[in-house]
Amino acid sequence: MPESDLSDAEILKRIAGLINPDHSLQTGYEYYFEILFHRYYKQGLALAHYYGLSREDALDVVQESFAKIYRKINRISRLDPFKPYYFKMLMNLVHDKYREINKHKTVDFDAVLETPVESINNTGNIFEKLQNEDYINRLILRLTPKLRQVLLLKIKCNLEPPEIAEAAGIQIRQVYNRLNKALDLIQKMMENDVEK
Amino acid sequence: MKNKIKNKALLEALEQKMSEEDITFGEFWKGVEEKLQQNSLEKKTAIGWPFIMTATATAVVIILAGVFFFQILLQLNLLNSGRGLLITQTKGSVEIVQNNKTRLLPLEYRVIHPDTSIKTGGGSEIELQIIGRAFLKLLPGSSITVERLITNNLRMDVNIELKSGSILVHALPLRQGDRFIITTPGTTTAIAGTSYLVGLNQFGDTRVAVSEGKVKTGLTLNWFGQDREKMKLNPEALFFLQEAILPSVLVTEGRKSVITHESLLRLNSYLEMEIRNSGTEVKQPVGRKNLVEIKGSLLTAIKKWESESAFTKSQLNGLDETKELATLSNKTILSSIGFNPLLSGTVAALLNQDGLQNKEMKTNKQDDDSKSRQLALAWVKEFKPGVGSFKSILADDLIVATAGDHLLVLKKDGIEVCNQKIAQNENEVLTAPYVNNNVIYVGSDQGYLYAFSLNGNLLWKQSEAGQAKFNTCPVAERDYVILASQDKGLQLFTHQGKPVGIRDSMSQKAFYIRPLITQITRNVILGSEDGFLTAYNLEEKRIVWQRKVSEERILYPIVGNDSIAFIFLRNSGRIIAFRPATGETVWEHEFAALSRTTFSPVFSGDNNRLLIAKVLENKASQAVLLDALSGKSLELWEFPNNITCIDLAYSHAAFGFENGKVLLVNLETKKEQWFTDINGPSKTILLDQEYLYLFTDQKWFKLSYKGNP
Repeated sequence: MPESDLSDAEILKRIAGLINPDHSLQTGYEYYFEILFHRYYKQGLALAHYYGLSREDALDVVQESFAKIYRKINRISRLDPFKPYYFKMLMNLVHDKYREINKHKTVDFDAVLETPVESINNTGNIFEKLQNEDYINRLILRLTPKLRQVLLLKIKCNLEPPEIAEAAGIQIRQVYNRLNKALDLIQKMMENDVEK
Repeated sequence: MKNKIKNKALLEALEQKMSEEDITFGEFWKGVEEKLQQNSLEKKTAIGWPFIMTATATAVVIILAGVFFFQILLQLNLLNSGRGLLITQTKGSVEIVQNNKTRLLPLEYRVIHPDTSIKTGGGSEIELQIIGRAFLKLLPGSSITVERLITNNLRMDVNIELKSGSILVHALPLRQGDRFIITTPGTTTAIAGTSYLVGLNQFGDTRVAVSEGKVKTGLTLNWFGQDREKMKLNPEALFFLQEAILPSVLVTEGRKSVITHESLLRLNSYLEMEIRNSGTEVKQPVGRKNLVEIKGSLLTAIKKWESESAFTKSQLNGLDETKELATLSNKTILSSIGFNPLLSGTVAALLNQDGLQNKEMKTNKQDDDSKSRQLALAWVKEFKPGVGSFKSILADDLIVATAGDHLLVLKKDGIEVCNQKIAQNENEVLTAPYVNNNVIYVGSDQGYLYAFSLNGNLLWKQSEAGQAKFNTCPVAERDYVILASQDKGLQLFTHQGKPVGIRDSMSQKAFYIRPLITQITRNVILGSEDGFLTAYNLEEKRIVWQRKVSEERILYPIVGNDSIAFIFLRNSGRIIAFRPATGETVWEHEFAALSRTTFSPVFSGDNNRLLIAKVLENKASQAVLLDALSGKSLELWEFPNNITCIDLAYSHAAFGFENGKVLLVNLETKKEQWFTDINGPSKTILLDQEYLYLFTDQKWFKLSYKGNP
């Protein structure tokens, strides 16, 4: 089996096997991190970005998440599945990043959420509109944080409901409820936009 | 349906395709490595505020907790090792001066370190303990400084300076090398076995009273310290002289030693004079050789002083000391913190400056209070007992007395049954009466023995019975009437008055006291003129045991019961408690202050108490109550007037005084009742369960002490 097909847990165990007594890692660990990079970079970046972070801040958060894996490999290597844990960690880092930003800027994240949706071209198929990434982002941003979190974990991180439940720290039933509610709201928002 | 996504089409539309990675792993990882390095540096160089805050708070808590526990450990260590005094109880305001800081101390369970002064105000007290070693109680209006408590090698080295007032001490037996010293201006008091003198700058009257164990009190003369330069005495010489010449006194249980300010000043001047008169050589630095010569002259001065001073003649504890020392009883000492005051051989000492003044005030107070606690008068009757001594006893509902040459029988309700002259000859002195089986027996100094019925009818008389003098009288038991006489020794008679022969040796002894009869063994215990105690068995008609107890005449009646009996020796004041069955000594104590008293000891079998009283030379009088089983002094009364009669029964002690006053003390509650409406001295006092009968020359009184008659 090619190593690129190894499960997350297997990869993490192999990284952990490269730990030196002084807690540094032996040469070769980069290979395994690269596999993880290909699996999670885009999702992580998208999640962070969809939470309203700029690209630079989102990249910073994802890099920080990998640095954290490096530092805590011993403990993380024992986690199975890894995916929900990773996105949970990533969301915490996103929140930390927001707190950091708010410390230095006076940007109100709630104010960002209240930004009115731009009028869109009401012609054409509703799904075509969704091809406009910016439009989708604005719709998602109008959701409540709880609904937005579940939806983002689903559409941007490709997590299955049980993984979302673990990452968000909620029941699976709540995941479905929230997903359905979020989709209903988006549907209504889009229909309203079409009517306008 | 549960757990199902309804709008899958919308969801799929939202799940937009991920764009291509806009960054290579290499570029990405560079950023990660930077973060790792940055983090590593932060770890080494910087600590976050939350961490600092948390760490600081934790450190502060740890430090505070550490300090707190260290203090506790320190104090426990101090206490357990005896280096600290634990305050176990305070009453009122107590002032503590520690490290030049004065504070009022209402709280208990604090620790006092050496070099601390403690001052109690009027009405306030403080109790302290050297854990496992000693209990101290500072009485109201007192001041002490705790100089030392213990040595580095954990030897007890207590030195407490008493500046004013009184301190009670209850210390466990000292071990070898231990010292327990209390200094007052002019004196140093140490538990026996320790001799130590400390110079002080002030003089004061000091008394040392002891209730248990022994305490040694020595003198300290500030003169040696102050004038040594003037007198050219080097420190070694000073020490030598102090050790060599200054008197000390061992104060034993139940006694006290008093030293007055004036007396100390006098001694001071005597010694100074001797030093000045001893020649020019002493004005140079002196060594031991010279000191021996000086010592001789100083000893002369000391002797002169000792003959004038009461210091080395310890006295019996007064009422004040007894009461104050009673507060050191086991009941009053806290035992909750591990101090066991019950260990035997403990020493209790009381030091009190100006103690004599206190005593006087107390005595006056008794008189002031006397009218407020009156005994209830049942009735008073005119009475003409005749001339001569009056000796009376209670017998059922009768009072039987011999007064001069008369026999007197009175009913307790005041009716006179008999008042007749029974003496056969002129100047015949009757003995005290004795009642047995409804017959009254009376002896006389002219050899008569009379037997009367209770209404005063003569049943029989013996003219050759034997001379009954001083403190003897006939006694009777189941089969015999016994008379211990001066000229015919022990004589036995049947209840019909017929003589019964006994061994010659008993009839050859001279007896001046009433014998004691034991009911179970039927022994007659006799005390003879030659100082022998003899037990004579009435059934076997033989001597059971005999022992010499003194060189002096036995002049006070033997009192007691079947299990314990007492003989009080007149000249020495020695009391010997012994087993009537074997003659074996149970305890023995000397009460020199009570020697040559005119009162016979009174024994009460109800609660095993023994009462002895004495009229002192200065018209005052003393009485001591002893626990008959142990010989321990329980009460000591000092009265400003002459006692004329005493009695002890039913847990009460009664005293009649020359000034006509009567005092009744409940020995259990310590409550006193007085009767002050009598003119003239009472002759005799008799106690029964509810009433007190009192006779004067002209009247007799019935007083109720258990409420209104």
